[in-house]
Amino acid sequence: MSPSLPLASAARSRRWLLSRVRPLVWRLLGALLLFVVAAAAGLIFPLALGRLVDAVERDDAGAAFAIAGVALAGLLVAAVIGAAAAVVLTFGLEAVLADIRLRAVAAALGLPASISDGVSAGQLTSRGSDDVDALREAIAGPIPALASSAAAIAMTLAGLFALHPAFLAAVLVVVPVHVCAVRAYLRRAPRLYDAERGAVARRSAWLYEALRSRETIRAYASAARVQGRFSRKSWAVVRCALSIRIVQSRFFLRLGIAEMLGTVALLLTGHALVAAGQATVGEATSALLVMLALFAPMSGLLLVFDDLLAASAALRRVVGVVDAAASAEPSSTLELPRRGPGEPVVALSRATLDLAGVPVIRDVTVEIAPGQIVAIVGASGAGKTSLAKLIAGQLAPTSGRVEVLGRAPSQLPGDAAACLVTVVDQHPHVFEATLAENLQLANPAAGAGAVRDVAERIGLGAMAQLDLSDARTDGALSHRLAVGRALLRQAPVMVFDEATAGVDAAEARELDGLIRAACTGRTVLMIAHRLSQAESCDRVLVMDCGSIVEDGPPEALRAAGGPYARLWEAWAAGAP
Amino acid sequence: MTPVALRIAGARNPRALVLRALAAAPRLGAGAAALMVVQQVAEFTVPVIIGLAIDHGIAARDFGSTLGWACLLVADFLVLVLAAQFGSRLGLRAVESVQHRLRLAVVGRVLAPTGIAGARGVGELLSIAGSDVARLSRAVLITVYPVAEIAALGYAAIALTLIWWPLGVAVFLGGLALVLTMELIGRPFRQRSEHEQERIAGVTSVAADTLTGAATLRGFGARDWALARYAAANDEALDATKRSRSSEQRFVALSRALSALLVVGVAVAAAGLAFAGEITIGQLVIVVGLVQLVIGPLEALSINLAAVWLAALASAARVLALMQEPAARPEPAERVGGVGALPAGGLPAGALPAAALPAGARPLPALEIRLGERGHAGHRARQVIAVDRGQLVGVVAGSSLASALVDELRRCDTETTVRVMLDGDDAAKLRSDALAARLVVASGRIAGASLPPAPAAARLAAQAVEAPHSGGEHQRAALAAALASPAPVLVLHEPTSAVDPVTERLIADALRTATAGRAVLIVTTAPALLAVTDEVHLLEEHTVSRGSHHDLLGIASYRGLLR
Repeated sequence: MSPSLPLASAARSRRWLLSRVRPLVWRLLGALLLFVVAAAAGLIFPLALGRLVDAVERDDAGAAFAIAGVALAGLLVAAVIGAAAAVVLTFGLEAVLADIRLRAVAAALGLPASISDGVSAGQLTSRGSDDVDALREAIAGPIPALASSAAAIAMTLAGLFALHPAFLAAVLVVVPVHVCAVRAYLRRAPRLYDAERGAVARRSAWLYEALRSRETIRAYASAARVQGRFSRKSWAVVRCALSIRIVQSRFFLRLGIAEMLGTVALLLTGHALVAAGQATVGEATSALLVMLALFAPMSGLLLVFDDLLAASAALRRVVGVVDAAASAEPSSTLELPRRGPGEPVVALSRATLDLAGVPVIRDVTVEIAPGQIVAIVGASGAGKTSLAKLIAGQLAPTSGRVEVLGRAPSQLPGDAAACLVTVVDQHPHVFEATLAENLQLANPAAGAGAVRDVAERIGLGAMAQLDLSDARTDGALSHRLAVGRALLRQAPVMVFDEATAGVDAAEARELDGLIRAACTGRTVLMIAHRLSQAESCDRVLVMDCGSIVEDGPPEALRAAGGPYARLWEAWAAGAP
Repeated sequence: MTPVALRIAGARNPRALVLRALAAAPRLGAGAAALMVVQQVAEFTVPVIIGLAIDHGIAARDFGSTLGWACLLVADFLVLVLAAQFGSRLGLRAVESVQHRLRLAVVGRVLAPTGIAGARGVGELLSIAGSDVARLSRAVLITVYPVAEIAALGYAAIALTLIWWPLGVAVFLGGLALVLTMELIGRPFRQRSEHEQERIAGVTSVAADTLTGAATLRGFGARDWALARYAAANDEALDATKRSRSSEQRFVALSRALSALLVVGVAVAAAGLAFAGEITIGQLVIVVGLVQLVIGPLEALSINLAAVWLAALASAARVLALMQEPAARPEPAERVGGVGALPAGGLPAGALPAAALPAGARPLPALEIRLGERGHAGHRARQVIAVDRGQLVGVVAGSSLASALVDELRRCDTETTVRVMLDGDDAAKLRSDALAARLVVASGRIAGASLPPAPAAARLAAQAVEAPHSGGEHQRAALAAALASPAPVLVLHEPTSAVDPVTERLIADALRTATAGRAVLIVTTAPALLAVTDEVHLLEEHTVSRGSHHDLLGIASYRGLLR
């Protein structure tokens, strides 16, 4: 089972949401007040109709038009104020949601390497975009509905009280039924919603992987097998939705029975009050019409419950990522410290690193002088990439010391460490933007001219303004882009993590040349899988099982007959 | 699983597709509709019972009668809640089954062996298989809720007609006028809402793009750049949403104001009748109660129906465009050399059609690549690369030439400049399933989570590890899958370009045993792999040289291409 991203507790995500909403509290209260006014205005209609019934009983035709006028005015005011309230509330909510969206993406990007390395891109994308989408759908419409329903219900109760306290008492009899219904619902539903979110996330993460590797599926004609697995995942979502609907419809059943009891209680109370001369027929009519008008807000409330639970499930996933991300404020500038000549740029002293309890780097001590070009070689799993991540500050050493230009990179906030050490990763991503923008990310301060120059140098000058979102990007383009970014970047230390993996020899040679040009005067670490790369470096570090087992210039190591010499022989066996 | 019949292929236009989706779960839809009709009618009966109770019970001070009507009210409510309970379950089942089926169809089309001709990003495909399919399948609800709403309106009109026929006619015509007016007024609002949807979808795709590139951003310290880019899209979406929400609320307020006019007008007319003694107080209550309830279905019909329909239509257009996209490699008209299912775990040498040749004739090579066959600029001379069963042949070429060759081998259609013969059969005339069974082209792209599982022997030969993480480990997993495939002909393109030298050597040593009995072509510049081949073809712009790796090392351009 692959590791997954953390989930925040329901209480924690509620607190987080409240902290996001707090600045808007006055706007929200204002909106609520408007909803109450609208609901009160809406109540005028059934009350006026009761008066109309009384007027008919008294045969007072003159009053009829005045009453009708008031009823119409009430409905119009309710329509206008209700809309205004919804606008005030949704504007506030959408602003909160936009803020949450941004924070979720920022958090997903800011996840420490120790967490994000373990999860698939699909999982991360699902948290940062799908869950935020689900949250939006479950909040943007339903919260105004909730506010409006709550106001309508409160006003209905107030209206019943105004007609006669006994009417209110009759309706309140059903409150225990409501309480039971809500409790029964809340006992089962939240778990089902979490299960549904999980099933949806699994379905989309899986689909994401399948779509990304559709060439593979085609090559092995395994579409049928893949389809079968997708069908099961998709049907799991359907099953979740259906079981939620069963719980929901039971909830609705109980609410309906409460409504029935309330209406019958009102009818009987109305009869008793009219018979006792305590109320008019018109007032009894008003009470019943008010109750009828409650049908819509009550079912609205049900739907809102539904959405709120969906929102809570999505929120827990979003807050889980937010909490897991480093809390450091973003910072991408750093005053580069001055160093005396001869002092090492990179210094590791007895550095060790454990990931999930497994030692990955063991007791490494090494110093790299300014301007050196150093190759790191070794079999897969020897700890080359982990060593690079330690130096780049993406991972903090479990024990020992890692310093770049006298500072501990993992202690630097946000992206400041990348100002010291820039890493060109194995799979450079091509963003859905123009080629120029794709280059500029490495140095947003670079002018258009500088970007154009770099585009020329990497042989893509003609494409500078081309939008790369539709281009079928191949490995060669993304590696060229990565080197272009390195050319623009002003960091004193550059790390190339198998920067030419996956491209053929001719292309690799050209890229190597470009990398050389990009790095004049800088300190460079090159994680090499080709010994031809290592051969042209000043110094080679050979790694095995998390330790540096050999260190020296390539020709010296070749002569020494140690691990590097054996690697060299293996490589050269078929070589010219 | 609920049976759902849905054919997408024959749909001529988006409208036809929506209609097919509507009718895809007829039994579930009809059941849900029937139950929701019962629910609506029962709901509309509530004011009728209340009116009668006021007339005969409360106004007449007859408690027995009030009690009787109260019992009827209970019965009516029970019908209402039970019908709603099962109706909503059936309705959801209908939507979900259609959605499931549609999603399978879309995913099936995307993963089909024939491929899709256009370049579509993963984000776009995900959004079609996700939200578009969901919106299209929601159209199923058109056969449920609007039907019930119309039934409720009809019921109210009949009840009102029974009280005083002009009232029924007025409510019916007024309701119709209201729906039509709202439909007209609502058009610009719906356009804005579409626009808002697009903006939101845009934000989502920027988020996905940003997160997919998280490692790159971290390495370059460019997270602020990415967040600024995302924030700009986010702000734009927020503005669009605000504009759309305020126009939506203007529309809602207008719709409520218009319906208020209708309700109050009817109430005044009914009051006039009551004053004239034409109808009783109870009937006045029934009229007012019904009209008050009628607003719900009227608003639903005028607001929701069009919105669901138009959203489904827009999504149907995107789904249909994807389903009807031309194939990247259309299936050839006739089936040639159709070989049925191949035995798993490799094919015994000579078991293919070549065995059917007349005795004494030289068997055709398992793989024969005729370069420049279809008059391409690259190779002037007609050259042939042939690989026999049990042979390991290398191809060395510059990167663009090698990629072009592998790409053409992967496609094997009538458009390519090389002609590929498999046991004498023209590969371009093979159907995709037969082709995949006889030839596997493992290029750099053939990797990732969807690789078929490989048995231990193949994994060992490819030095594959559990849970691959680095580029080299993924490449080894891909190689293991290629070695494990039962196809008799294997083309490997730079299978070890990201693998360290020690491991590469181990893979090279195991390659011959792992591919025994098969014809293998390796397009590579790795000396370790070339050293174990039987012969190597050196491809240059105009010439092809052939020889053993050792012999070719004498050619300077050959040495230059090796890495």
